[in-house]
Amino acid sequence: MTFVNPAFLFGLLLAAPLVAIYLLKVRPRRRPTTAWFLWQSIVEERRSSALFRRLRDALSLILMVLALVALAFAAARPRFDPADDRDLLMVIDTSTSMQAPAAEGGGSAFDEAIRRARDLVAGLGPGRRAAIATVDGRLVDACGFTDDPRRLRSTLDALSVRAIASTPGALEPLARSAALADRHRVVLLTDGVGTRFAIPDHIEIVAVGRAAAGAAVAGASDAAGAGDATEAGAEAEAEAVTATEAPANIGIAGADLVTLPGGDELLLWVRLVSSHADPVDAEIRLRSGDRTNKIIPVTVEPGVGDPLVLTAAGRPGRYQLEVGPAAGARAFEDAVPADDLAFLVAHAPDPVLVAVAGATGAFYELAVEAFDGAGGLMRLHRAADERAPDVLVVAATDEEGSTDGTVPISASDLSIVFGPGGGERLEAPLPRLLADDHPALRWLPIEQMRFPGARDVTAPEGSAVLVRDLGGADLVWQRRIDGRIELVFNLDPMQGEFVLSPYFPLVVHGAATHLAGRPDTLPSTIAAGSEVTPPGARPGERPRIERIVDAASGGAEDATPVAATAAADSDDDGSRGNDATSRGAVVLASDSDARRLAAVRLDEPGHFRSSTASRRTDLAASAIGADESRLATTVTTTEEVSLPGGRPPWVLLTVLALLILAAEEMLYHRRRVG
Amino acid sequence: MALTTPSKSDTSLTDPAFIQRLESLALLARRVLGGKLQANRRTVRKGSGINFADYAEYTLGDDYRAIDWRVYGRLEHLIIKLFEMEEDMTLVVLLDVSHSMVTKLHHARRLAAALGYLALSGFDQVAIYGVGTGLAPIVEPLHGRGRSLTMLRSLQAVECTDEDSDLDAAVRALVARHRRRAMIVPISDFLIPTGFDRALSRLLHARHEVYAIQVQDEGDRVAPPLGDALLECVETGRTRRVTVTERERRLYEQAVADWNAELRTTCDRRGIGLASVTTDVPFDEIISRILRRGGLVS
Repeated sequence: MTFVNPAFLFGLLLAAPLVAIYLLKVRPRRRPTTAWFLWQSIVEERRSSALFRRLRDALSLILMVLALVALAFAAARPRFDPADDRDLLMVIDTSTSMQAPAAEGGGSAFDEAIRRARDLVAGLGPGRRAAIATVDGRLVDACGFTDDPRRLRSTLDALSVRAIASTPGALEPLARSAALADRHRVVLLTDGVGTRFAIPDHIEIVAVGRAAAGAAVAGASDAAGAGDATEAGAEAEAEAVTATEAPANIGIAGADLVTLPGGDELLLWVRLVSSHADPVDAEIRLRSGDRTNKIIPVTVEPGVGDPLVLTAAGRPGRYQLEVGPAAGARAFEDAVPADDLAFLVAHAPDPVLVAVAGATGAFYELAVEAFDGAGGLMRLHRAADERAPDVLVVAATDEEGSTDGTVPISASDLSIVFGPGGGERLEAPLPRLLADDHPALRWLPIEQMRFPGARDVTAPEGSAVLVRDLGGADLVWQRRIDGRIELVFNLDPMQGEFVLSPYFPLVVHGAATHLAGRPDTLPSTIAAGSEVTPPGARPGERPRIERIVDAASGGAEDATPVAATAAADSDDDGSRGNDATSRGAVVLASDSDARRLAAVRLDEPGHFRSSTASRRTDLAASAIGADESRLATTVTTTEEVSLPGGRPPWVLLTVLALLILAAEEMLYHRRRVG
Repeated sequence: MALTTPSKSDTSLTDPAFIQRLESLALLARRVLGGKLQANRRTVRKGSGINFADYAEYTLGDDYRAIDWRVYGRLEHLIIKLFEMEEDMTLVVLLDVSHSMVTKLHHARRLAAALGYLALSGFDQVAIYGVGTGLAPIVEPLHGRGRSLTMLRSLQAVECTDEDSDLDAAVRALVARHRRRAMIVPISDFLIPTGFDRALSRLLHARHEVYAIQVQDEGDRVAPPLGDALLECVETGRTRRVTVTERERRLYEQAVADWNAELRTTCDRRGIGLASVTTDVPFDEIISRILRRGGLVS
C-alpha cells in the first residue's frame, strides 16, 4: 500500500490532544442530591448495565481515535494496487441502438453505459487519470486525460446518443496506436448492436443494455469478421440471435427516392427491418413538408424485410419517409424511435453539359451521347442551351494542335484535352497509375490501356500527374492555367481505333463528371455520420453546408449553417487540397485529396444544403442501418471484464470515519441527554 | 440542581416588614380562631377554674369547698360543682437543620418564626430545637409576647449543619427533656433515610400532639437533567456516576412521590396533622391556610 499524500499521516499525532481533550470532556457535571437513598435504590436496579457504562467512555475514546485514524488515512489517499496504474480510456458507444431500453435498471442502454462509466470514474484510484471518447460512425474525443472526477462526470452528463450507426472502422485509431495499448487501459461500453466495431485486441468490453443481460459482446476477431459479412450473412446471423434478446423495434433499414423521367413521379425504394417476433401491421408515409404524398400499409415481417419499390406522385425536392402504426391501429413496441424517420431528397436530373471542340469532334460527340440516355448523367451541349457548357472536350488535332474553331476554347474553364502534342511518339507506352481511385479514372483499366498516339512529353510545372509511362513520359495529368482546369490525356483517340473502344466514352464520362464535380449518382439519403461529396464542388473547393428545416406550413425554410462538416477536418486542416495544385508534378494524390476536402460528413439526420460557387444542392442524412434497427446483439462469449469498481479507498475510509463518528455521537448523545 | 441560599436581605427574621407580616398573621389567628390559640384554649380536664362546667357526686377526698350547699339544702345530696381548667400550651418546633435543608432552611425558619410568634401572642410557651444527628436547642422555652424578638434573633442565627438528620434521635432527646404535654411541630423535608415513622410514633406515645410540616423544593421532587451526572449526597458527600434517562427520571420522581405518600399515610393513620409545602409558596400563605383549617389540628 502506498500513499499519494503521505504527509497527512502526521495527522495521527492529533490523537494525543484528542485523548487529553476527551478525558476532560467526558467528565460529567456534579449534581448534588438530597435524596441519595432514593437514588441508590434506582441505581441498584441498573447494576446490569454498569459494565457497559464503565466501558462506554473507553469505547467512545476508541471510536474517536479510530475516526481520526480513518480520516488521516483517507486524506493520505492510499493506493492498494499500484501495479495497475494505467490511465483509463472509456469509449462509450453512442450509436443509434443505444437508445433501446436496457434489460434492467430502467433507462436506455446508453443510460446504463453512463452509469457504468460513472462507476468507473468513482473507482479511479488516486492520481489515476481517465479520458472519455465516444464512438458511433467515428471516434470522437470527449474529454482528455484528467484525474479530475468532476470534469469526467460533467463530460459524461453532457453526452447523448446520436442517430448514427456504428461503423466497423470507427475504432481503428485505437488499433493504430501501440503506445495507447501499452500505457492505457481502454474500455469500450457498448451494447454490441449494429455493424459491430472492429475491436482491437487490447480493448476491454463492458456490455450494457441487452448484451449485459445475456453475456459480453463479441471479441475483436468475431467483430472484425462480422464487419465483413455480406448482407445475407448478417441476416443469417440475425436469425441465430434469439428474438427475446432484442427489444422489439421497427425501423427503416434503407431508402431511396428517384425522380422518374418527366419529373412528376417519384420512384421510392424502402427496406424495413423488425426485431418483433411476429409480423406487425404498420404504415409508411411519404411526406413533403406538411403534405403527405403517399401512405402505404405494410406488414413488417421479422428480420430484414424485402425491399418495397413503388411510385408516388411528386416532384424533385425534400421528403420525409416515416414508418409507424397505421392510423387508428394499436401502437406497437418500438425501442428506437430514431430509425422510424428517413430524410430523403429527390434530385432533379442534372446532366453534365459537355461541348466538343476540334476537327474530329463528331466521334467525341458520340461518346457524350452514349451517356445522354443513361439517367441524364451527361449531355451534349447544344446551341439552344441557355447554360454554358460545364466541360469542354478539346479533341486531338493535327501536329499543330489547333481546333476547328466551331466551339471557342473559352466556352468553359473546365477542359478535357486529348493529344497535347509535342515530343516524340511513344510506340508502346506502359502506363502506371499514380493516383489510386482517382474519380476521373476509376472505371478505366489504366494499366491495360495502350494510349495510342501518346507522345514523350512531361506535364507542365504545377500539374498533378495521374498516369505516367514507365519510361517517364506523363500520360494523364491535371493542371490549372489562368483559372482554367485542364485534364489532359496524352493520347489520340483517332489512333488505333480508340474512339471505337468502349473505354473512350468512359474516359470522357469520368473526366467530365470529375471536372464538373458531379458524382455519378447523388444518393437521396446517406446514413448519418457518413460522407457525401456534393456536386458542383471544384477541386479544392469546400462546400458550405446548412441544415434545412422546412416550416410546417410549407414554403418557408430555415437554414442553419453547420460547422465542421468537412470530412477532411478529422484528419488534417484541409490545406492539403489547396496545396496540391501548387506543388510540382511529383504530387500525385492532390486531386484525390481535393475531392476528399469537398466531401462532407453529415453527423445527424436531417435535410442539408450544400452550396458551392456554382450550385446549391440538397442533401439528406438518416438514421438508417439494418443492424442498428434489428438490435441484434452479437453475443458469443460470457467473459467478465475486470474493472476498477466501487469507491476508492479514501472514500470508504471517509465513510467509515463518518459512521464511527455517528456511533460515537450516539454514545455522546446518551451521555448528554440520556 | 444547584443548592442556593437566599440573599441576606431576604433571610432577616427581624426585619420590620417580616414582623409586620407576623402580626398580620396573629390578627388573622384571633379572627379565625376567636382568640383561642393553642395556649388559651379549654382543656378536657376539669378542675378549679372559673368557668362552670358540670356537677358531680361528692366522693371522699374531693375538695369540700366545691360542694354546692344550695343543692344539698334542696335535695340532701352532696353535689360538687366542676369548673373547666384553663392551661397554657407549649409549642415545640423541631427545625430540621441537616445539610439537606440548606436550600429550604430559609423557608423553614420563616415558618417556625410565624408559628412561634403566634404562640407567644397567645401566651403560650415556645421552644425551638434544631434537628441534626441530635437535638440542638435554638430557642429555650419562652413565655410572653415580649420575647418574640428574642425568638426571632435566635432563629435568625440558625445555620445548616453538615450532619445527616436523625429525627428519631432528636425525638428521643426531646421526649426525655419535655415530659409535659406539648404541641410538637417538626419542620423538615422528611427525606430521612432511616424513616420518620418511629419518631412520630414516639412523640404520640409521649402524649404529645404532633403537627408535621414538610418543606420540599423542586430539587427534591424533580430528577436532574438527562444525561450523565455525578450524583453527590449533600449530607455525606458520597458520589455516584449515573446516566439519567427518561426511565431514571421517571423512577426517581415516582420514588419521591411514594415517599411523600407514605408520610401522608402515616400521619393520617396516627392522627397527625400534615402540611406539605414547597418553597415557592409564601410562608404567610401557608400559615393562613393552616389557620383557616382550624389551627394545628389533625
